[in-house]
Amino acid sequence: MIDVARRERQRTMQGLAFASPWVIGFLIFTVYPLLASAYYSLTRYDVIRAPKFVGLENYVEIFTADPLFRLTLANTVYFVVIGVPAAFVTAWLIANLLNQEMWGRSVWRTVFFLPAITPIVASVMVWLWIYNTQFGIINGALIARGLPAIPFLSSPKLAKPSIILVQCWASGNSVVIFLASLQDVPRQLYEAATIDGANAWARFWKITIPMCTPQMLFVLLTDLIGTFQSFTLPWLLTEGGPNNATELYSLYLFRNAFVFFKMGYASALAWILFLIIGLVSFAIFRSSARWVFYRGE
Amino acid sequence: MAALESLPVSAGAKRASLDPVTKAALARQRRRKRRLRKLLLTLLVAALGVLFFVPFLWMLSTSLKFDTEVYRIPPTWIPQTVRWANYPEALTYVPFGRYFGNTMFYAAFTVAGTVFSSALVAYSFSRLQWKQRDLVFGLILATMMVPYQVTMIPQYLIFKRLGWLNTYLPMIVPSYFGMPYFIFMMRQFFMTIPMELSDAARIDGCTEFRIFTTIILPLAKPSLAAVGLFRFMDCWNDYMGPLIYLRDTKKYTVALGLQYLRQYGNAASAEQMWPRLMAASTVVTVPIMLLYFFTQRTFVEGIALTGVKG
Amino acid sequence: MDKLTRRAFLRASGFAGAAVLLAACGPATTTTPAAGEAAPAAGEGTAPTTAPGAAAPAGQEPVTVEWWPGWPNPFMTTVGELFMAANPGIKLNMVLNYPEKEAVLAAVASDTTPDLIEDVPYMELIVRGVFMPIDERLANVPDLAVKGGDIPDSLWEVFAWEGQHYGIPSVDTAGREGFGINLTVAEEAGLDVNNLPVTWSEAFEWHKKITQYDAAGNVLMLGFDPMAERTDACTDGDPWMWPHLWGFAYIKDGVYDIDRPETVEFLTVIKQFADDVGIEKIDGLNTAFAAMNRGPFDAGKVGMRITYPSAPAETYRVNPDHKYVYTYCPVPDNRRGIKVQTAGGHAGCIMAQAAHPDEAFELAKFLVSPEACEVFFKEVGWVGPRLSWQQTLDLSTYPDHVAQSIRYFSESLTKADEVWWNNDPIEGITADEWNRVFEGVRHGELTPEQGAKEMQEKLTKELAPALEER
Repeated sequence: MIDVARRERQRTMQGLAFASPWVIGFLIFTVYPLLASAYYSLTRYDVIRAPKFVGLENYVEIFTADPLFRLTLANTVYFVVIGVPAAFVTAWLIANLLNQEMWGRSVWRTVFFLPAITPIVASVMVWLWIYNTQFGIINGALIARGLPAIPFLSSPKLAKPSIILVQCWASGNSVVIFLASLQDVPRQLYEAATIDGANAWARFWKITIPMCTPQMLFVLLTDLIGTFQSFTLPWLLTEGGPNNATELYSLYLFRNAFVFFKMGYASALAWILFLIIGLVSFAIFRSSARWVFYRGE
Repeated sequence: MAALESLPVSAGAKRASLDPVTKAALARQRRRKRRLRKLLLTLLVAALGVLFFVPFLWMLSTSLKFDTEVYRIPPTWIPQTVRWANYPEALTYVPFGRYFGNTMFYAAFTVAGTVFSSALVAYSFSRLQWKQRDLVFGLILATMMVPYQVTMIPQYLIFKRLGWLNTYLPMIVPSYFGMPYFIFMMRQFFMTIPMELSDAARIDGCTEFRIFTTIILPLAKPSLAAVGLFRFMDCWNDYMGPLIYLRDTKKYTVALGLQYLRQYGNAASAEQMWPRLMAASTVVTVPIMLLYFFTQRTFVEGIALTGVKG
Repeated sequence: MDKLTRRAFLRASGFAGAAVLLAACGPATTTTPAAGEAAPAAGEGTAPTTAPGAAAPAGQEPVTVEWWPGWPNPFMTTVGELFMAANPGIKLNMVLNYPEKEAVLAAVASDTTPDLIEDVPYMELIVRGVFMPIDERLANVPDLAVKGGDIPDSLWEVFAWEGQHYGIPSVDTAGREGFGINLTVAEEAGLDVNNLPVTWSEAFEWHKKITQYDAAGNVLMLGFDPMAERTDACTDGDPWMWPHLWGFAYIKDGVYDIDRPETVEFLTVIKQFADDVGIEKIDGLNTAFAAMNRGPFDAGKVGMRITYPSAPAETYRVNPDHKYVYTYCPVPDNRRGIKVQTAGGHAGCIMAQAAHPDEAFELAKFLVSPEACEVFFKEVGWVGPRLSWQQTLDLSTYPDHVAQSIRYFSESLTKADEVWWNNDPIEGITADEWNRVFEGVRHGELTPEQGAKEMQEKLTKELAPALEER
């Protein structure tokens, strides 16, 4: 009995020892800042003068009197509900295509991955120039043919899809992860299934997809988290406009912190975002036991 | 899992009874079919690939144009008169050579730290069984969910107290404590290495650290390379970190240099703005493009959980 | 007091922490502490020295002043070098960076600010005590008197709060708005360029006559988008010029006065232009050129615009064949004939925590010296605020219309009938709110009446907490 407990404790110590770099970093770079910001979220704080404790005032205002909170959250949910699946499916389809036999595969792989590794500032400039309503490659051609130009980024209706398109274009990280997992599906499984009479469609659903679920979980979760926090792309591309169409939650949060001098309010917004992301991720992670298959276990 | 169990793995008896001639003809037919399929697939992927590559072509094309041609309708793909001078102009207005060196310098330290520390931590969460392990792992995931803006100011104050402002340390040092994204990624890799390997070593009396360094790390080498490459690209692309912590333009990174050119490069001269911006973007993109092209085997294999082939 | 103790604490704990960790972690290169306190170089700055370390022997080594010039361009370096040549006792540590708000704020929060800074959200930092009042120092510099000195009085008030002044206007500080008209385009549209529009209804008529579309409805030539540049809060514009043109200050003595008929009137004017062409087409055209100095106006695609003081010289550099002229902005019909101008721009501000305020003051003074003004004008076409220097401005190298336009900007503050400015302690929120109202109205989601009402309520609610004693 005592022996079991000691071994248990020993194993925990060992596990923690291996995890110690993260544990230390976690305490310094996450726990302390989080606690600090949790405190700030209960204050009026402009970063310059000392914070003033106001209790739950910020939270009350966010939930009862801030139309922009609702608007920016709705915009963000749009990106999560439409953008994340769009990028996910794009990446999955491309990875499956790239996994087939063809000529020049390594060239194509580079081509599809390239957008993901292009510095985001460079991507932004290139896409601004592509979406340009006068001289962009699409609109220039349209105007020359006597057709109306497409206001990609200047129409509140088109701005969101235009940004999502850039995100799909830049989903190369997920392509590589999917491709790697596809290549790792043991050949014998397919051979056996073929012999057994399973057609390509059945093999795809019964072998390919289940075998790739760990990577799918990874991509889904990281994309989701990334999208909830998405900042640089919309900030540099549209600055939240036109008419707030691309004002995402994190942009609004940023504005509160660094433009409005309302760090306390921003901290409250951040904590709410943190909880939303946590809940959604938890739900997905919880469900993953049912659909994710680990071979090592 | 249920799906897999329904597939009998040992079924190969059906095709034994075909005569050699039919077999050869069938093989030829199959080969022809395969070639056709390969051709069609190549065409499809090429078409898609061109679509994905169009932005880069447009970037390259613009980077070689004169202003007069940039603002012309309809747009042209191939510049009528090539203006190479856009490149030296863009690269001298902003000292990209220096920024390239700066980025490499801090990226090297960051990558080394990330790879080792993340592997170590991931090992604990995938290969060791301990109480509350999954709960703590949940915490790691949770830290990925913390919006950057929440922790930014308190973190800044920490680095300020350490006297690290205007140095690369605030960007380098945290990576020595494991990055959640990469811990998660490596955990997924390590999970797929059969447990029997570790168990056998444990029976032989190996310590966990030895198992980690002599068995798991070598098996995971390609995936370490992948993490390293991902991290390198992060450094190459990072915008917010350098923006906040680096005050001095001399210490800027490539990504900041580009934005610097965008914001201020035309304050003194507005001619050739788009071509110069596109030239700088090209220059910033090409090294990373080449790096990936030459390392992609390692890269894809790394993610492909090489340890468990077959 | 509260604030001071907190700062002292931060500083102390910062040093303690750094001392422990520095041994292991290599050199820290944030600020260069000066070895000794040299006597103020130019002599006039006789205000008491408050900097730490004053006990060190004087005059041995040059004092190092940390300066964040705001614009990381070569012309700033040039000015810095000129300053050092003129003041051998002062060495500059120029930190060329972008004055991004997050960086400035993080620096202020951690008390690692420089001695002198420009291009920041001035009012917000002033009301929060980030800058040092300079009235005592200014009292000893006759030409920099805040009343009747060599810099227009109104400019000093832009950087003032509760009777104290916090920055020396410099760089390109002047009358902020100019109404530019492309004469060639106007003539082609059959308009009489000797009778430029002075009211908004006239401007709208001109706009209608100049605007042209192709068969598909694409804009070939846009008459006027009044929101294109300075008047759009989105890109650091001056949205407050609208109330000024309608003859009122939207904030006065700490009270917002926005929900009034005039606001509805100018929002209706703004909407009129947007509805006429289509807001998406206008925005598309504005972003198509997406360069600071190369907007659609400079490219000859727009007939009229409202813009900033450096524009005439900049347009000339981009497109020397362009014929344009700048004058006072249009006013509402019932104010016909009144010349209205808004004062604004940039100032060198000494940080309250500056280690070398005397030397920083010298530098701030230098930024508005004739030498510095000359550099700014020659290299970027920015007109500095020093009146005596403006008299010597050599415009002979420019064609008449450019010279006339530059002169308009330099004289507008002294010759206008009304000069306005605002001291809005929550300028960031206000600018953002103007922007949202403008956008909402232009996109047809807000009526002008709603816009005026919502903004009044929102800003009134935000102001009190920003000003409360902490």
